[in-house]
Amino acid sequence: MSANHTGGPRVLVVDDAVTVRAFSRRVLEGAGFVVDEAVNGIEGLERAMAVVPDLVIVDVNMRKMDGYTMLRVLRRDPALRDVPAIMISTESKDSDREQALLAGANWYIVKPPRPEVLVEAARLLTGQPLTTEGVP
Amino acid sequence: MSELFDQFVVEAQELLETAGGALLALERDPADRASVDELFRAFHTLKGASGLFDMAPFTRLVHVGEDTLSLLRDGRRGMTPELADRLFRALDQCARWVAALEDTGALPADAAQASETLVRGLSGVSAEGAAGGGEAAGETDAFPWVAALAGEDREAVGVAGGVLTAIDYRPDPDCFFTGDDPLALFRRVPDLRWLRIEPAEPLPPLAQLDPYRCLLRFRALSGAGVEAVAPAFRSVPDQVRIGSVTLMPAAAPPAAPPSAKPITMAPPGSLAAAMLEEQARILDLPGSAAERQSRNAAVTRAVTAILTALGRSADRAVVAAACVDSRTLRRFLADGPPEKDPAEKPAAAEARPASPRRALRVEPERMDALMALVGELSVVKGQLEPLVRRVGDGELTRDMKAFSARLDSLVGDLRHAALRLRLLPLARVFDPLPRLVRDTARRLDKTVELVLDGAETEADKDILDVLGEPLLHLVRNAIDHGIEAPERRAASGKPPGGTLRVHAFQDKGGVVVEVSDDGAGIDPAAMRKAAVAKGLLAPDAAAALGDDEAVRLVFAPGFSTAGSVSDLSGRGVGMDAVRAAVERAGGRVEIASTPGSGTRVRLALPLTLSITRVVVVEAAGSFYGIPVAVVGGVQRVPRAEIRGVKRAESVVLRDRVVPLVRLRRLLGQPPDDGHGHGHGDGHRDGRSGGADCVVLAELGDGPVAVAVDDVGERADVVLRPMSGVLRGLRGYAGTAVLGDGRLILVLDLRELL
Repeated sequence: MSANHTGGPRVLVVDDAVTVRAFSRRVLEGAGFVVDEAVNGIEGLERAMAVVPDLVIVDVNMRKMDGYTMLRVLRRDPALRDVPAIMISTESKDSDREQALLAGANWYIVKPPRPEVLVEAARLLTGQPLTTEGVP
Repeated sequence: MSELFDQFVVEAQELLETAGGALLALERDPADRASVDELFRAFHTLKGASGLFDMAPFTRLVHVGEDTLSLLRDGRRGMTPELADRLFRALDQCARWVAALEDTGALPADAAQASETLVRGLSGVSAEGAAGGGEAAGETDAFPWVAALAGEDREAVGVAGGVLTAIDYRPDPDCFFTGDDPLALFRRVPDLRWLRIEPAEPLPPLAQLDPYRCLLRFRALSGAGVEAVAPAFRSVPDQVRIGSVTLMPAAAPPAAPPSAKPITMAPPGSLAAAMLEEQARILDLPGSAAERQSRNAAVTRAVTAILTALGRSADRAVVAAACVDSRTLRRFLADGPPEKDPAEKPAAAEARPASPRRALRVEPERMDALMALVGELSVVKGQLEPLVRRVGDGELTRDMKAFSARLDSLVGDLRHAALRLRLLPLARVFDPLPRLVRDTARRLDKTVELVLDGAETEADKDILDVLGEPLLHLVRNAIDHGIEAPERRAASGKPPGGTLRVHAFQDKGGVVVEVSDDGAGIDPAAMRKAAVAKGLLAPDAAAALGDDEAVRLVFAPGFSTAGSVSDLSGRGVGMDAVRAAVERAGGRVEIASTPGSGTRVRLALPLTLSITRVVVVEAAGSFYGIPVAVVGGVQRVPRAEIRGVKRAESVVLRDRVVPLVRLRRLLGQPPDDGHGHGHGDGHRDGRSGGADCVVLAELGDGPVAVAVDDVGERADVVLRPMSGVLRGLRGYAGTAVLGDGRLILVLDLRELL
């Protein structure tokens, strides 16, 4: 059921932690997504403009440009403003969640994400049929 | 997950290094916002990344570190040396853990305890500055089921992010006979928020069930403190675990307003339902018209996607019409699907972008293997030339010569490139210095500013390894013995803070590191006195020493100028060890000192240990290499000037009487009769006229003239240790292959003499 690895929906993972990026890549690629990476908001925007992803997953705290700013800019870009976005953070307070949504996120996940939750959220926001296949 | 784990280890090392640097900067300038942010981010990222693995003590420590820094960042707490100490200790501990993770894949057994101690230190510090800066995560790790609470259970508990008391009670199966009533105990628990009673083990079939045995496990959460809860279980301390925990709020969205209609398009309680609910909420968030418009566009697309994923047809235009505010969207989501076809999916599928540039890690053995192969290649290439010569003249020969020349230059390039692979920036040995200076100065109550220059200078990894220890020692030494206490500095008209400069640069094909301070300098008179007192020199010999030579006495074994042996520099490793280490690597140490204004120690090392520059010499028809590092000069000495007393010979060179040894004799070869010694020397008239080729070797104990049959070119060679049957031979540093393929033995003159 899972899409093939080169043709699946494209997810841009923006996080300054290489470990988190590698984790997300592994989990998402395992579920048939094509994964792009960026290490901060600025790179994230550049990448997003270049590939126009089907979903962005953005960390909050990054140097150069944080996740909030990146989402705000993303939402102002005519080509990217409707790209669904998940914000991912170690903070679990309601106020943090609120701030993420205000910045333009569609969903908020507390780190560390459980692989199956990450995959299900990504499938939902990219319109992929739900399945439990391919979840590590 | 091991690849991911390796990645974590590398990332954690980098983050810890960054954090250490930021902490140093922050301590120096507490108003340095960039450093606070940097430090905070490092802890924050470590927390997030470590959370992916099973290493709770690590995560907990960096989490509390992050909390502490967030207080600092918000100005609710100021930076103090004590706080810096504790943060440093936390970073050190994390570094040790990462090392353990790299070695064994797991945290050491005492990690939880160590973490707890450091956490208490940090929380203590963060609490004293911040009123109510409360207790962090608590013992949540001991009650994993707390974090796993979901849905209704979590709601029942009520507090998100609050501190609770967890109770895990497994009554003794015979408790009914001992008079305990498990359930009654819970009636005495104040503010009981949640209780779950389950079989402690799979229950046996009904027929075998003994109703008088209690096979239950009770788990509960109370809003009261541990000290209020514990008394209820005083009679069963061996069967219960009680601890304070923090209930992290789940990522589930807040409940919809009670007035809202239930969403029927997604299964109740599913992630999809929660997400759809969240999209509705987003529509009501405040913001400028433009902001709301783009948010609505994103919500429209998200809702369309979610419905598509659920197998419902979702026409984007219809969804868009519903995505105006939360009420309209909820109604749409509750009232069932509109009938139309979805089917738009953005095209995607480009080539995957190149992964980010990362440094390559190469095993040293592989590097060595590469170097060895390059050496072999040189040998084989060297054999080509004689072959070409044998072919004779003609077009073929010309072509082959051209080919051979091209090959020559390629092999040279390859050799050069292979050598460069081993070069690393000196930053590696500079990195520990700021911390060392900070700690040392703090312990000695001195103020020292460290200036690092030339961290980008490159040298072979082997050289860096040689350099590391001596450098630490020199820096420690300079702060301990060189730079004076602030009062003393002030008294002599210096600024109270000392300056320590470590400067690296490349020089004459080698690398030089200078450590200079603006401290008290070394007093030559005191050195002479000390040398006599320690019995190292006779009084007249000491008096005869020039000032420079007297200062150089610091390198003499067993010498220490400190009046009292301090615990810092006086621990065994002396300046003599610095000198020994540097000389072993073929380098030199120099010292220059001006009493009252400072000392400079200069370490000069070759760029690499694996490449040695040698002078090729000939003796009894064989070729040998003498490392250039010990060669003070090469010259031709008329036989008449060599004076012999019995078998000991000497020669006057540069106004000094220098002992002369013959390489043939050292190697056990028959003496040169002064005439034909084999190889083509027809053009050397001097020799038949009775002159000897002499290499002046500068060894630690003064120069020695080494007479050889002939002196050839200087060459960079890859020194390979003696192996096999040659291993036992003394007097040789190793074998090497010259660019033309000739094999030579490289002499270790110190050993040979």
